[in-house]
Amino acid sequence: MIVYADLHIHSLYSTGTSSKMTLENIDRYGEMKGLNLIGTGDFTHPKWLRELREKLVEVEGTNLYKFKKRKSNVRYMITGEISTNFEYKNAIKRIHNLLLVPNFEIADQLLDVLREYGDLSLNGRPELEITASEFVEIVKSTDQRVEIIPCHIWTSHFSVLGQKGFNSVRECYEDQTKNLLALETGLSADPKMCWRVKELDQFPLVSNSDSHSPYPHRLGREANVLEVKKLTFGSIIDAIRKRRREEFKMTIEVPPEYGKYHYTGHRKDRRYLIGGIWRTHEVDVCLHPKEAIKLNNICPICRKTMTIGVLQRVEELANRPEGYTPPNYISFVHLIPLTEILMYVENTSSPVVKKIWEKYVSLIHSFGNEYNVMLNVPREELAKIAGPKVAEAIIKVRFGQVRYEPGFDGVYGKIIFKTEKDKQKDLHFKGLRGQTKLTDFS
Amino acid sequence: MFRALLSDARTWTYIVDALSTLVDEANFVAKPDGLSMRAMDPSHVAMVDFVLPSDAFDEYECDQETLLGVNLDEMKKIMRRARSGDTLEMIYEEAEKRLKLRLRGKTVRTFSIHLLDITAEELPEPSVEFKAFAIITADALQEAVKDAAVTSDHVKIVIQPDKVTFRAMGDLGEVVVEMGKDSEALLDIQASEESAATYTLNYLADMIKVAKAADTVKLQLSTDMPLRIDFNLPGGGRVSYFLAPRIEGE
Repeated sequence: MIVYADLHIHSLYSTGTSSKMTLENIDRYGEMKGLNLIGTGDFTHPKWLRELREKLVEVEGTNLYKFKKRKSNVRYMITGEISTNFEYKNAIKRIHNLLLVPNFEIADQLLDVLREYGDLSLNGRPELEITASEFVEIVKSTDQRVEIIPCHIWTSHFSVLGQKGFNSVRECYEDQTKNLLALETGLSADPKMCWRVKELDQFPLVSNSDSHSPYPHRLGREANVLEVKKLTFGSIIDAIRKRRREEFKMTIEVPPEYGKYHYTGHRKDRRYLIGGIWRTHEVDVCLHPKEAIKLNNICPICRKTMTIGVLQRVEELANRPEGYTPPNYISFVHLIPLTEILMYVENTSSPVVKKIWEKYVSLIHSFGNEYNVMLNVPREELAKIAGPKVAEAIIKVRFGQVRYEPGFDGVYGKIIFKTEKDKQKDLHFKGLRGQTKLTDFS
Repeated sequence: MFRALLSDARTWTYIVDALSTLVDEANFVAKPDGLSMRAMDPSHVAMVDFVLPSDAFDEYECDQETLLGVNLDEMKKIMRRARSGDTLEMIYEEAEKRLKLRLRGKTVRTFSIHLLDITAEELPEPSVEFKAFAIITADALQEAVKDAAVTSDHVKIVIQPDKVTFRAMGDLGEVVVEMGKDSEALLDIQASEESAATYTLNYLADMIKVAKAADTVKLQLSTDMPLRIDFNLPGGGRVSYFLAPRIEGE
């Protein structure tokens, strides 16, 4: 069977997460998206764990779970993200790790160990005072079947290779590197970017949404497509670990430009001190790495170090040329959420307005789920339900005929459908609204 | 050897404060005719050019060109210990690669700082033909920049034959500061053509810190070109800044 798996999400008990992130909503919108395996997220939080136990039951012999009462095709894997906070070379490192846990009994054993390092009830994604390598070691020594995946590895904050992380996975995880199942690419990077760093060849690359909202423009926006004979915890782990193309079909990725940390910069509403007065940036500073490096990564508005984007970090650590493709790579597709496309066509600013939602639901009712709409349904069929403009836009996204204004410093990228004019225009530099350098005048 | 004495240590405090706003580390160049420093901030948006001729010091000795690589934050910390009425003596000890700063007042306090080996970089002045200048009082510039910062993060400076205008527009509204020929703040003005350019206030806010040590300031600009600000120090010497413009409408 084909499995569409999003293994990294959060519950309503994580900070910054929608109060709508209930198990029922995750199930409802997950099905609409086309997911049939979802990570529960936040298993370390006592209230969420209690809810999971109350509402879910194991599908016998699989170490995966389903709703007790609700009719649904979605299966659940017990998962949670944990921040390991520690000092390294006089700097504080905060590295996020995803845990995949086979069952509630092992989850309980892990909680007994993990609560020694921090309060698990404060946040669905707890902050533990432990090094990343010690963390992997204690998790594995609790039960070998628990798997660990470093999260969104390139993201500017909280990641192993981002601006505030390390220069290699090995430097962070030391001798425990061998115990990592895979690496999560994160929204602002795709596998192609990771292929430029030789060290990463040893790891399978997975993609998950890290969603803080149950709606389908967030949930499942990144996912893994796997084919297994029987859907079990073990078969999923095996398919990821062995990276055989017959089993690990592909990953679904948002275009990396869409991610919130692709370019380097400072967003418009950032606060800074000027002449003793707190002010906010009036303009966005969003730079391609080449432009950022020219400015020594200093923001010309507030003069603090900018948030270094993923594109720049990859460039810093890359030891292979752009475009390098490793042998036996796992393929991937770039998709953006269907509601984003509808928003663009209907010219609205919110994905949850009635006009958008009605059109979304009609497409899902006609074709089963969003992945099917985005990946398979022919243009003519789409046009019958949603009109020619929507059909045209979906086909353009499917075949990569779309440009994006890159995301930066926590701001999502924006979709730009190509026009003839755009083709002649280089849009890669959003810029500073004209801040020049003295060297421009020498 | 290098040795220099200033009868008012606070002059050096103000200078170091001003220089350290743009760069953390820099080379002072001591020559027989005086002390100088030129440095570019890391983003290459601003440059500082400082000159204090030998006769601006009360005593000055330097037999050959000497590079003094200094951590300006460290020097600033030391100079904050200067008290009113203190004199400052700077002595370079070649053997130990240290610069001694001796504050002499009620007591004699000697601070030593390690010199840094900073790569000397050729930094040419931006090549600009200025079409307008205005000389205004240093405190008027300070006030204008502070007023502009109330509403915006950038300010447009306009020099016309009869007045200089600072205009800042932001979400909160607009501020216009004008200094006409009848203003006590405007001491001289000349413009072969009306010149206007927009600059980031965060840099200007730091640059005006040196106003404490200066009475007057000369602003020079051409439309959409770098701004040059010269602060003339009492007793001789100057601190000049260059600031790259923000080109509007891009």
